[in-house]
Amino acid sequence: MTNCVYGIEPFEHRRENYKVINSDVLCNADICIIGSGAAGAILGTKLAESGKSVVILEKGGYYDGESMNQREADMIPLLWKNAGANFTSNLRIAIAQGSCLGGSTVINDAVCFRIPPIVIDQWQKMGVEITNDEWYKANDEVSKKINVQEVTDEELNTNARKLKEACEKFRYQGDPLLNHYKNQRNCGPSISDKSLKACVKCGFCHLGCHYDTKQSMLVTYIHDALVNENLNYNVYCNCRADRITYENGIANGVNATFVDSNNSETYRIRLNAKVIIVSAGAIASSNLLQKSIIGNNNVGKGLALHPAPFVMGLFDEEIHGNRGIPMSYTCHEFGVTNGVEKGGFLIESIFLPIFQMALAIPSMGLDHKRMMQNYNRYSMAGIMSRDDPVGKVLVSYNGNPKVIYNLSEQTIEDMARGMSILSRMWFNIGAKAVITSHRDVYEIGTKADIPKLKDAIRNNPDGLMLGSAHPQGGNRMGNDENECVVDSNCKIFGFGNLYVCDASVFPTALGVNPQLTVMALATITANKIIKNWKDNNNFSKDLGNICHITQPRYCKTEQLSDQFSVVDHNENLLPSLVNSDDEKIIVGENWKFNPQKLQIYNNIYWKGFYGRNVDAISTALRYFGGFYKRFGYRNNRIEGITHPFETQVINAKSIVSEKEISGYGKVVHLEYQDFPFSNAYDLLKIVDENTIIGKAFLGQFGKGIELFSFSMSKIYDIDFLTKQDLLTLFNNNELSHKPNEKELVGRWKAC
Amino acid sequence: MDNDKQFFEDHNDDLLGSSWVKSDNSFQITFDTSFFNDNLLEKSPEIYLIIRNENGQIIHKTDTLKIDSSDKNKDIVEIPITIEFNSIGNQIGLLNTFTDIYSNNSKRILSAFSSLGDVSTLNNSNIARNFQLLSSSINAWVIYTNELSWKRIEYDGPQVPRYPSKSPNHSHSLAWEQTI
Repeated sequence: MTNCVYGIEPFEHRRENYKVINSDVLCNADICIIGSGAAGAILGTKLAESGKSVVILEKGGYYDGESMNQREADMIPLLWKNAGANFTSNLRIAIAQGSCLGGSTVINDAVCFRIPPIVIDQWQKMGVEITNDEWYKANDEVSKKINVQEVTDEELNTNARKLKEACEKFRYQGDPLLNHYKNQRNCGPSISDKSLKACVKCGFCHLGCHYDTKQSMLVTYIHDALVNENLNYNVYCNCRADRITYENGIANGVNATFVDSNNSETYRIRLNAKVIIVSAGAIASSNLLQKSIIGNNNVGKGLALHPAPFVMGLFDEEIHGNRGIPMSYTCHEFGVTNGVEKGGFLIESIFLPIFQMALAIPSMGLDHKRMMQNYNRYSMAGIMSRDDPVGKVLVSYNGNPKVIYNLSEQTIEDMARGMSILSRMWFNIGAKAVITSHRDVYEIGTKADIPKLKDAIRNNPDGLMLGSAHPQGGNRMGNDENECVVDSNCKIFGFGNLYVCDASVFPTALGVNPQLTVMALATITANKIIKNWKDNNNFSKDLGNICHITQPRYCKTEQLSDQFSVVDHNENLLPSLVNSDDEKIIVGENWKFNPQKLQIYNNIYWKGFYGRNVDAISTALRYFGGFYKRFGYRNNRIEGITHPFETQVINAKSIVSEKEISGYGKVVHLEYQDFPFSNAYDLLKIVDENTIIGKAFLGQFGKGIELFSFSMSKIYDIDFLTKQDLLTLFNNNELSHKPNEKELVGRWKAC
Repeated sequence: MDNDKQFFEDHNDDLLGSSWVKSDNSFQITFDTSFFNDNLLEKSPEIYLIIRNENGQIIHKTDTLKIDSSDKNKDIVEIPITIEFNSIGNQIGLLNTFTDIYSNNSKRILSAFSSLGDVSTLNNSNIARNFQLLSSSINAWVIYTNELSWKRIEYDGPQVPRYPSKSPNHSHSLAWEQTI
């Protein structure tokens, strides 16, 4: 088995086997996983290792270590979701998430914390039936695979040593801080440079690891699966999952679109699968469920972000915080890892490359310039708050996830407390000034000014420049269907084979960096799916919205043209060209609606479709010139009319005959009767009784100039419904009904 | 390809006939000359070559050459069409040329800001903060992605070449460690 990464970007060289997509794709797999991050990659590899065929759909591109050049202007647009411009709807919090093969594990700072025992206990009380033992075993398994180890003393950079010193010398309410220690990280031997056995300490972790020493999903689980010839494992990158399709509580596949750097559609993929797992990450997973109309009204609710302001100490000596591991030391004194059950925060060492630092410092003009000139003399740490899950995800007008989030009182108070403590810590070890992320009090010259900062945070929390790298929640896990979206197996209530497995199922904020917990959850979930696998599902025959000869309405013009050249006209089906005698809709006879497939059968006429190209002319054709053709018996032969949908004056009559044409074989010739249409003709090929593809020509029969290719169908998806179809659906009491109040509440409620 | 007046796309031109490439890289196209005998619109075929990349995108199209199909004595028509490699540039992945994966980043950013407009609710946010966000973003992008500003601040900067794969033997040691 040759496993492969597919994408739409041409590369001259990739470390893994890589192929460029240049047509629509239709494929079947036992398991489809949406997302290749901390959860998706582990699920994919473990399930493939159990003998299942696995396909992963990843919205981002595939970039290997050699692509990661440590430049913010180059790497943030490539690796970060929404090119880094990813915010809550009020633009108050910037949310950093990976959007590339390997997901956020490619751009995080490699910090690994095990799920705190308090959180396990809290989640169990909230209905999560995962035992402590299951968590511990899964943590062990993952930690071994991604080489989780505590950083050495030698690996602490000056910035982290400053935080360590600050923790050691600080007294909080008279007592020393006892809970502060070095972080564990997932770094190890490089797969591309055998001379590198551990972290190079370049400091560019969140721009991707050029050296491949960070043991992200890209160089561990995904790499291992791709190079294992015994596995059936493929990844489609640049591929946006649009909709999960399902019938009677069984998900049967995913419709997805390959998008380019403009976010413009190129090709499409239909993936039929026996089991579908959504691991697109918090926010995106909720968005996909909402767009697919899956799950109850709890989908999207309960989002937490771990919002984090920062405080920097300005010192006389040069610190060069950018040199070395950015996050290697943490003060746990005030957080969940020190027994704080509600709220709380960690103080984590962190440093930013220059562009992000310039974005983070909230001053402007000459003040900003002056502060940036001290770049090498700052020591920086962040206050990572364990916030209340008060956020929610909605679907925007264009189908994008819209994050509604406002800081809770508890979180504001935690930030005020944390930032003032950290400010005092910096002054205690000799800082000449403190720089904060609050717009109103961004620089403090003495300890005496710290209360001003605290007041500013409490009175104007909008003034904080906040970042989040840990969105969690939105599809809560638990045993109460009325409160939760998925059960303790990560299976969506009401579905037999549809799962959500990522940070979106967390019932509360974790309180520590979540990657290891997400990986452990994926390990637990994969084991359960393998254990409970029942291989009795068949693949759906639903083709989705891709180009295929039986549904050419989804083809591009050139694909239609190519298909016309190779497909055979089915002569036996010529009588099926004739439409219903009745020109008016008779529901159940010449017009039907399939609510399961959301398809319309319409035999009043053949609905015409131009190619689905997005160039100006094709768009104009669709917009202004949608057409239908209607055929019937007259004068002992089949005659037809071609008619635009909106323009009443054009009604081109034609005579139907079958002819042999050089280069095309047997075709149906539509000979137009009246001027000016008599200067044109169509050639048709009947594919099946509901499908026709054709070409339009200008000029004398057989020698005309080809104008364009098109298709016609009696069955089409609801996406293509006409005004007449809509009115029929709306007015027919059996097909639709007036919604009652109960149906409306929760769907249209103002936020 | 027969280069008709293009109503829509290049692919709608008439295909003249079949072709194949010989071992010496010459190629032959056969077509039925009678097609043009009584065609009012076209009296002779036109030939041009298009080169597509792996994605099917047209990256080069030659000038059109008219062929006199009435010249029965000419079995072989020489087609003096030349393709300047430089005109194709680096667009053909198949030719093992270099692809700049960062070149579309401005498109990515514009697309991202378009999406941002779709998901933000400005009437529910702090105007002063939004203004600061916008101005500091532009300021940071213009000044601090520029290497000159790095030097002024003595920021160490990236430790590898901008195109690492073009310098396969580049160093994996860090500048600040080399100076120690």
